[in-house]
Amino acid sequence: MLVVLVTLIILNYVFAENGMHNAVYFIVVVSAIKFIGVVFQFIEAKHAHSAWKALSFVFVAIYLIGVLVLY
Amino acid sequence: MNEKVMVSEDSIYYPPGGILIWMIIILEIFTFIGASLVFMYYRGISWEEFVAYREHVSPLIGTINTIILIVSGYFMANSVHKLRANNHKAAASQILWGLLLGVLFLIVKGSEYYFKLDAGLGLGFNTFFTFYWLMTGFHFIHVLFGVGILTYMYRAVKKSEYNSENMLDVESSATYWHMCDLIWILIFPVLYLI
Repeated sequence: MLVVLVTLIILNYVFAENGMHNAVYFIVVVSAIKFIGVVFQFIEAKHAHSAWKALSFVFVAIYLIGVLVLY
Repeated sequence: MNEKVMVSEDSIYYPPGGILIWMIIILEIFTFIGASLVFMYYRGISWEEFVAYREHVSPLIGTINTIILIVSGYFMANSVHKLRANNHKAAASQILWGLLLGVLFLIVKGSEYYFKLDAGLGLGFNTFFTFYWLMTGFHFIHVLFGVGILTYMYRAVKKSEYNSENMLDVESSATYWHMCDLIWILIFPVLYLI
């Protein structure tokens, strides 16, 4: 999981620095994946009640939609 | 009272780390999501200014700090697993690595702050830097507080004050540390990359 997260972080940097078309979508979606990865793997929300899992997805949805709409 | 209360891990009242730390996480995440969205709103109003001054923050330094925090979180997650196996020495060692990486994050961030201040890019310089200082500054304080918690936990785990039957404090501390990861994951892209 750590390798996946670090790879995503580096990919985010490469996309941002190369100024690729529509990079913002990639950057924000990758950040959302990192968020879910940390919540489920590191905090171990994968073992928690489904309400806490759902709450994590609500956070991500608000962030994703908000940032992309306001961009 | 020696009665042991068994709480199911998938109970809604017992998320990993305990419900109180999750209450804090909910408040903190909502606050920083709100700040990120308000930042994006002002970015839309003053697009040229925000894009121009975004060039004054280093995505590379931000990326390095993101990796430092994520690896630090990985060590903290490992420390919880080691303590569950009652391997105190390994658990303490993992906490120490997490702690040292947390300190490294603060050093890198502190040097970034130094160069910003040296260039005159302080809190009141413009709207972009007001957001930059407030968002990263509050996060910095969270990490600083977390370093204090990890220092205490390192000492306590090393002295075997916690074990697999009594480790809620360690789990809560690890969850708090992961919250610092989560906050950074949210604010880093809007301030440094977009």
